[in-house]
Amino acid sequence: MIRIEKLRKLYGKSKAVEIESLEIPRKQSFGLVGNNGAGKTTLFRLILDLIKPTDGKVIIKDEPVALTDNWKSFTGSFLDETFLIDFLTPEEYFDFIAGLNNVSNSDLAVYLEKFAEFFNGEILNKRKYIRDMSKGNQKKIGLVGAMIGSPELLLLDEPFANLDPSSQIKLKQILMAEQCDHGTTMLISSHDLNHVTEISQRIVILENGDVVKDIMASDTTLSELETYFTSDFETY
Amino acid sequence: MVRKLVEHSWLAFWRSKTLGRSLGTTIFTWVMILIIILYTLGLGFVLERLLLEIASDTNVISTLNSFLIFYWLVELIMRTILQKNISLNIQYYLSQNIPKRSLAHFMLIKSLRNLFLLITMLLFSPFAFSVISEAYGTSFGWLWLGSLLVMSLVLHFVTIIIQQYSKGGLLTPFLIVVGLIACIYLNHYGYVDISSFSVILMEKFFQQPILGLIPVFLIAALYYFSLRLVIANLSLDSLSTRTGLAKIGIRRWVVYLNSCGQVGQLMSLELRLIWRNKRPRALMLSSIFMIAYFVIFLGRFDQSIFIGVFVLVSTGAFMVNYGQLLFSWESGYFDFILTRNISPKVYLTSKFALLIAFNTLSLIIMSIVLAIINIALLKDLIIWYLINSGFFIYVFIWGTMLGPKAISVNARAMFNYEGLSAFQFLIIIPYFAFPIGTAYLLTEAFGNETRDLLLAAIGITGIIFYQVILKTLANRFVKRKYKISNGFRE
Repeated sequence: MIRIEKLRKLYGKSKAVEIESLEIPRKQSFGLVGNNGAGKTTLFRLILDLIKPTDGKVIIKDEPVALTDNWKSFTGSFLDETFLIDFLTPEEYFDFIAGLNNVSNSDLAVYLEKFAEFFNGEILNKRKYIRDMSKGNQKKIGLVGAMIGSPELLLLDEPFANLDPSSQIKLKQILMAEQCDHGTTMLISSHDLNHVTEISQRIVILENGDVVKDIMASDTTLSELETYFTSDFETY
Repeated sequence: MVRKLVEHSWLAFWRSKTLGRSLGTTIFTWVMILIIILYTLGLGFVLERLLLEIASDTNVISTLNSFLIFYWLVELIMRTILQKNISLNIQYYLSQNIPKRSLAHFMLIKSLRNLFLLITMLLFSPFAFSVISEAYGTSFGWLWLGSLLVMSLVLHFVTIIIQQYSKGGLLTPFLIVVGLIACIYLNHYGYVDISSFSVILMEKFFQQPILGLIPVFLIAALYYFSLRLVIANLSLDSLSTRTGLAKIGIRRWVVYLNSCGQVGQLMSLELRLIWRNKRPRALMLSSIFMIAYFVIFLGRFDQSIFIGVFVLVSTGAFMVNYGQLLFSWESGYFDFILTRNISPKVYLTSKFALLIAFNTLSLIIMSIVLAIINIALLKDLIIWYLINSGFFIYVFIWGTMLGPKAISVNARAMFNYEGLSAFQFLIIIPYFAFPIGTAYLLTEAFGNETRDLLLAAIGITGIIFYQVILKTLANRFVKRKYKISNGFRE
């Protein structure tokens, strides 16, 4: 689904991302882990063609993202609040995305119904603009917006941050169901090792822009990750 | 306590985003303020001569007094549109151990620091201390000036009360502005006579200075009333930038535009952006004001080389005001636009269609009014409309890609130059020079008729070939999008 070739992004002389090669097959759920400043968001932005790589390229379905727009029709993403249109109501925001993706009004209504529990009655029919909602609710809106039209490829940056515990668990179920029902290829970054190991089939650790670990998830993954991140402290 | 608050507001001013963002913008803001101050002062000094020219046979003082009512009306309009809502910058103090009453006092007194009071003082001081003092003595000069300042204060608190009642809503201020403009027009065409009002008022003061106590009481009452309102509204709920409950489902044009494919969807999004955010909304309202002003001006014009400038600027008022920051308006969600299924050409087409719609709206408004008051200008109106829509529209789309900066759309509008870059300053020169230049060059070379035909042809060609031109611009957009989005993220 995604192929990364000799990708490098420099800011001045400091390296943000350097990945020789990375391939994410169709239908894989891919977890990206790393400390702050490891280059996770930069990598996402490179994949979404929001920033220009210094070298190399990102290829989605055999087409370089920088050269075509085709990937946009089957890719949903939510990185941060710049993906929200804050002066719209949630309904208008969903409606807008549905319109862009040719999802009919009735399909949208059916789709949103699935999220009734996730929304916890705080999102829809509140007659509030997104900018007047809490950070957690804004996050929910962005996440649900990204999944409208059941995209084949889904990129989420820190989806669990800012969510309350029950919403985190609910989101985990939603993402797993999405993957199960539609075979969505998912890229999810997270600081929460528990959640990310639970929903990912494969985990990659980024450090200073490099891929330092690339493992298929198993029962021991979580403890392996915990060991990796605590070993950092011991060196100090 | 109050000293700390004053200190904080001073820090907030110097460390504000608008000020800190770029030196150029800061300098520009201060230069603008300085220009306004100097112009006002200059106008103050020539006021007497101006009045003599307008009405030489009558008493200068009573002529000025008869104009005062319009000054107040215009001031009230400007205040309604521009005066900053006082209750916005104080959220962090609410949780602290400060009595609400002191906060409210502080907010009200701090709100007095604004340009309107200063303008009144600068504009009328020279007149008060020359003409009035000569005629009635210095103490009367003070009295006259004092009563004008009192009036400005009255308007200040009236505006605050309006704002507190409308709670950030739009309808009330809009109706007030429309009502006041209507008053001015009705008086101009002789349906009502409001100009005698201020004459009588001011003369009463001169006859019985003791009446001057009335406005002092009035201000005290208004201050007390505002204080009560501010205290009542002093909770986080009413302090938030929230504009009340969002109205959904009644905007038929949103539904209609949304059914017109992606271009329509993007246009409806942008119209909502304008309507729901303070800065673009204030810009649009002031464009209406600008058009109204030019229409009055043009009503008295015959042929002149400057007609081109006035007509160009007024038919393009919305386009210039909104279009000079075309991409910056969407800086808050630009990443969304880039990652969604929207082709660059469709995106630019929606911008193009929006600007054309603005121009056409201005054309319609202006041609209706001009048809009544100066029909000879209708031809110029159409020609410069075509130039705006078939030529300058592309200049704006092209130029705003150069290096737009992020702006916070819901920030205040007055003296907010956030997001301005070299382009906005540079475009003004050719924009104004174009009509004068072509008027000179083409008229010299071909004569008036051919010049008009040529200009119209340029505009029409631009409009007809919009697909081709937008395609070229879209290619440029694809190349520049990283730079644009990067600028917005900084």
